[in-house]
Amino acid sequence: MLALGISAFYHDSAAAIVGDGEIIAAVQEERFSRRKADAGFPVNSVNYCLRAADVQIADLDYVVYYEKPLLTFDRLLETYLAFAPRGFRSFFRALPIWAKEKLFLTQLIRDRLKELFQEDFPSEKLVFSFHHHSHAASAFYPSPFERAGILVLDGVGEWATTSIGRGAGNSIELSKEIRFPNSLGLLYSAFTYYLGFAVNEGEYKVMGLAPYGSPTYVDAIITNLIDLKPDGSFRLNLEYFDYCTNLKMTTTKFDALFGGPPRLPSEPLTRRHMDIARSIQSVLEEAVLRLGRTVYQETKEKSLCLAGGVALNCVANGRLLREGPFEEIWVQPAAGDAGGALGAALAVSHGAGVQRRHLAKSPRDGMHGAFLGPQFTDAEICAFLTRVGAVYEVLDDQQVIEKTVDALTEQEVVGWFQGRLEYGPRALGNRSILADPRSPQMQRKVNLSIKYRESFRPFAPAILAEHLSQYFDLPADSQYMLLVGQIRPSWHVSPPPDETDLTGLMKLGVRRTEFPAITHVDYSSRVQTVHEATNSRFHRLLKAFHSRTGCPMVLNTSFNVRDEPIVCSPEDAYRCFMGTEMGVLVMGTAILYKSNQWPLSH
Amino acid sequence: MPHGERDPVTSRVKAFYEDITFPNYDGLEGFGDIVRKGAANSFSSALLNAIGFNKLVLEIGCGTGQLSHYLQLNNNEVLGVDLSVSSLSLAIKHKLENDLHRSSFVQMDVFDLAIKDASFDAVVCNGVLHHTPNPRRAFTEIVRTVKPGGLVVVGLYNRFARIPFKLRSLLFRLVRRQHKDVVSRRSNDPRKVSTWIRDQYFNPHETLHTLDEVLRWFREERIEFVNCIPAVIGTSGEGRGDPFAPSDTGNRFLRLVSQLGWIGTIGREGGLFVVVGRRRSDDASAKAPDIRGASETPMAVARTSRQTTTS
Repeated sequence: MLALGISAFYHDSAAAIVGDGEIIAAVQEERFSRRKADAGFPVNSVNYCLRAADVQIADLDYVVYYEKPLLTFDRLLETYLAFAPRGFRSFFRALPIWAKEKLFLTQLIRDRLKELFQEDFPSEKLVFSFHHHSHAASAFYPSPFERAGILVLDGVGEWATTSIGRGAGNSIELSKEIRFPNSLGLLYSAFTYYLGFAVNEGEYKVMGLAPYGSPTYVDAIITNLIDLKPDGSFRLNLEYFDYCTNLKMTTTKFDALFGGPPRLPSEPLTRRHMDIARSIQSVLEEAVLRLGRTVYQETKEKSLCLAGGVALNCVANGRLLREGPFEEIWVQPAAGDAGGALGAALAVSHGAGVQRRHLAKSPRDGMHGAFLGPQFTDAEICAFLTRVGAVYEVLDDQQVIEKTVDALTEQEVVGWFQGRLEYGPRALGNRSILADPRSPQMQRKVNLSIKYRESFRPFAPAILAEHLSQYFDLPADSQYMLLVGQIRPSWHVSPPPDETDLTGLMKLGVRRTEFPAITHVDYSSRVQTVHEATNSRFHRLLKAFHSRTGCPMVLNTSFNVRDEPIVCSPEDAYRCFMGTEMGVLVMGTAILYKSNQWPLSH
Repeated sequence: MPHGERDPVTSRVKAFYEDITFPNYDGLEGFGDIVRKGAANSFSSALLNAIGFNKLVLEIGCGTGQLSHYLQLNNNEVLGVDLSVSSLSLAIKHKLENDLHRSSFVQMDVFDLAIKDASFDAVVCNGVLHHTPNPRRAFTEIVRTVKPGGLVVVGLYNRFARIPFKLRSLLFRLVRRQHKDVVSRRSNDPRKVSTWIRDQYFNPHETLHTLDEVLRWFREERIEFVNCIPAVIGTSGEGRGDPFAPSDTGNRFLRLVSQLGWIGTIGREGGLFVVVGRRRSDDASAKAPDIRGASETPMAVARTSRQTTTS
């Protein structure tokens, strides 16, 4: 039973292929097209998935689209009617695109498949999943749990914005939902917009800004914006939001409540912005905690699966794990809409009765570490490097590790390109930029001369799973960098730094722990645990770094610059390496030193 | 002309650019901003792409050095040359503040370049030659520095596309209005606006050039035409994504129609057109010194003996 899942035409297109319940491949279109959050039909991703599974289009039993287009149209229309005549402009601006792309989606997808493969795809094999069912399937089916509660949180799918339910064996049942326009995702996005960041991309910046502020606006939010019930259900006061009727997110009433108009991206971040970020983050965490408790009361399951864009809020996830009723939490690493492609394919497969065989294996999680994208052989890598005239050296397996550790300890920033590309927004050690987390200058160095940005966020550590509890207060593994934990006090510098004269962003420069490059101003850290079973070379690298330095973690940030997608091919990686001040690039077993690339004369 | 003396035009232009530093930093501009702006700008990002990796780049008339700094990405070494010491000192200030290693700056006169023949992979001279007393001779000087097969990028005011500007300038003089009241130039920094107005409207010396004139220079100096920005209509370079991809020159008529069309397009932004070429790789007159593997830096390539070296 072979199913190909597709998400497209909204943002962040992707394709995933599932064979007899086993995830064979999954990839986002932006990684091929090099257009961030590419929303077009995922031509390259579909091609790649079929190649990875070594099948033809005719071999597919199903092609599954991740949502029901008619229901979404229904929402757009009803929302317009409810607010008419306001919102006329935004409705009619959205309408032609929807009419063309979504209403006639069956035909559109078949046309694109025909263009691609020169053969008609039978319409009875083209099926549609519900948006939240796709998310729920992506969260539950690959999880290591036989049965679990399910919580889906996002902006909006067809109608649902929040869904809760249960998964057991092969079945998923969503029992309750909260509907548009009441949405935690859109609430958070409204604040993202207000704080001057890009909606759908800047949400994690709001989360990263929050620790600088105080939750002084929590009351204002709770009293005016959101009516949050004890069970976590909520209603938004639409006088403050404009996403139903307008293309911007907040109203003048919203501006008045928070003391000014939205911040322009070029304006500096002030104390007020930090306080607002902290406040909305606190409200979100509270809502997620309450919803978690409700899922527990409804299902009495001891495990929880999470998906949907809001599930990428790793601070809220960390609190839910520590303070919530669940023993274990599993978050789909591609929690956003890209993950819908995988969920849709899984939903059809398991819905047709295919067993979740990964539960009998080790590791019990079916995501293969999220390493589901294209890979390149050493021969392909070397052929490329030779073609572009790069100066490189091919090492044996052990030397690769040793030379990389040499570079890291010499305070070089290393591009690390190995194996299959990650699915989802995080680089987890196959398309990563690595550096020494102990260095006080590293946060600044990586931001200014590699990422070319001024950032108020620290980087994330990748740590040997075996050493997690020694360094971080996190009760469970965090394979996908989706949980935030506190650094244990034994690693704090003593005496604690004097910060009385420091305000706002100056605080990040202060050395608080032995690992300043990965420590946030509130001593928190977005942890990734590295496991031998899912990434053995990266695991060996960390072990070697540990035995050399006594430090079992490295700084890990995604292999890209500026606002570009994460690198996919050796060419992307080489261009990124050459275009920045990265000192060393390791691709497979090939190593390149910037200082050897002629004519650098220093 | 003996060394150390300059003709009156050069002296006036130098004095002008000592006074206004162009294009200037607006104070907040870190290197990250330069990278972001450079990547977002279709000309500079395509230029960096065309230059490639590990190259030696010479920018003649680098001003305050933004483009030179941007082009030192991709592991390139860039030498920025300008007459104005005050502009160069801003370039060096930025270099030091941002810990950049591969851009260097030297004060030189384009008619007296202390640079060996055929020593750079690319030479960029954008919006400079039309402020010199003899653009044709200056062109000979700059292409001399390019290796066979190397890239030549020259931007000049176009005789046709500059017409709207000339008219506007005349109008200002007639109505005696303040330029800043009339010129709409989108920038959040008033200092940048006034710098731009002075550069455009009060320049002590400027000449205008046609595409055919530059093509003649190319032929005479054995430079192969690559493309023109904006592209000539009806040529293979038109409508391509990459303005540095090889194109044909079109015929005389198409070139004339294109340049007249520029009045309405680049005419609004000052009328600067860019011609891209490559020095023929079989050019026997160029002796490429083999500096691969040698310890020489681009700075060593420059004979610095009698020049004011500022970095």
